[in-house]
Amino acid sequence: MRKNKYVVLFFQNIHDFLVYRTRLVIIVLSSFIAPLVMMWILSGLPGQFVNGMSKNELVSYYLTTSILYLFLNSKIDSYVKESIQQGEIANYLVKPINFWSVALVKDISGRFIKFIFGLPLFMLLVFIYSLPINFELNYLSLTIGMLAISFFLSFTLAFSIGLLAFWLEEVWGIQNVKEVAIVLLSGIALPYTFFPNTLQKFLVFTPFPYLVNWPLHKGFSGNLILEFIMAITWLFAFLLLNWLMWKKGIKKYSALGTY
Amino acid sequence: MTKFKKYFSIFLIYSKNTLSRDISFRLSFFMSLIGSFCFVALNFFIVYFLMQKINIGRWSYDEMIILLGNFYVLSYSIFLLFWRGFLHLVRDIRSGIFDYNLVRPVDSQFLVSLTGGGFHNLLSVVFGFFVIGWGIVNLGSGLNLIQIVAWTISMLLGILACYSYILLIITLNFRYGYLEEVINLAFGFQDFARYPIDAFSKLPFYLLFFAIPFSSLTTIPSIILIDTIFPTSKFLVFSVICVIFILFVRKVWVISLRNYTSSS
Repeated sequence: MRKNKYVVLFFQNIHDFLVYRTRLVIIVLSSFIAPLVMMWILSGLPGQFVNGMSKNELVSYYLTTSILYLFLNSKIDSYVKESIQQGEIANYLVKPINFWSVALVKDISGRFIKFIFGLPLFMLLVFIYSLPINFELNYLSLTIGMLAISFFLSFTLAFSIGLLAFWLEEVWGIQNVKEVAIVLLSGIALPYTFFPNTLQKFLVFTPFPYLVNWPLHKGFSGNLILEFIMAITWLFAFLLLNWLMWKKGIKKYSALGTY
Repeated sequence: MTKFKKYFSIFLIYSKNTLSRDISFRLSFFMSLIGSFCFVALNFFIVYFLMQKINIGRWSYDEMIILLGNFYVLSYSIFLLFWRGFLHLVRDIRSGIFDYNLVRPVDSQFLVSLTGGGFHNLLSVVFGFFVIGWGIVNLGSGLNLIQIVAWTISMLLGILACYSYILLIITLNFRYGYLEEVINLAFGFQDFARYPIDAFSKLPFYLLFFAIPFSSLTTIPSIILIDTIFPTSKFLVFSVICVIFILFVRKVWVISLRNYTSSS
């Protein structure tokens, strides 16, 4: 039986990632540092509550945010950008394989392997801080659906940023803008309770709340249906943007020599 | 003195080359400026939102702004002077291009460190000075000559100590092969420098080992600017530790070179 080419690609990517295992450990450790530093600062403050959140809630918030950030934040923009700049994309134009799907498979395999490497550290921290783990089985399917939306939303956003390399020599600046916006506005640096009320209300209409923390903080706006409508709207908007940018970009693309 | 002139002229030549290369694509350079500056904005908003709701130890909002300015100057000076050199070093060790640094009649540590800056970070360094000035004006305490000299010394030593720490981490590449992401890990620890030492008072001992050295890189220069009574003992201890660490890393670098086997 012939294997699906994308399944083959998935396992090939996993093997590629596993070549440099120490590198993976370092990626995982790096992504945990910023949320943990903030967690230590806030949980070290005097009193039982910090801005309406108990110390346990804060610790739990930052630990789950760390692991979700690792799993849900797509970095595929770097791969897309480099493929365009270095001409690797020409390979996919002449093969019966779709570049969008290739990037998606690469992203899934990358995030999967990072999640696997990050899980032991997460479990260790949960053990150290003696946090209770509650699986809300009633909402399991809902949470899985939200995770899927967040996962694809993050991918389509990053893919759009990467495609800018068709028009710009250097996308690094815009990648940084994206990263900063996600860290600040997705609640990775600070929980939304620290934001001014107007900003909290406004954020519901942006893609940021649905990128990382949403599956664990469903209903943060008080209206879950509105959140779903906004998340799905943004997902389709970015899918459309991916398609349009690819169509326009590929007409502009020129490669010299061979890759 | 002649040696210093020689190295300084090499540094200037490399800097001019880097600058002309950086600004040859103006739009890209502008985008890089934005990219560098948006992290400045991120840090500012985090501190702003945080200080609206909580207090960190003895630190008032204006004092935290001064500390943030110090963080910008420290962090972005390292990006400005060393970032590209560090990135290239990791790749060069892997590819064997590092050989070129060893056969040139110039110190290899100098070559890999100071010959590849990132000028798009200059704006962020300048903004750091502006933020410090803004904080001092708001505090209304003013500055005297001793404070300015001591701040300059502590900041320079802090930058060199932080640079040495990152170089120390990168030397792992000599022994353990390709660890590109190690730079991100090294820079990740700078997050501790965004907050004063007081913020980590409740941390367990094993975490203080990371928190205090990084936090002191910005806390000590900030205290020098803020405190009305000059913190002589803190300044001296900080300076001595920084100098010892910088010399230690120099020694490690020289020893690590023995582990380098060209793969070219």
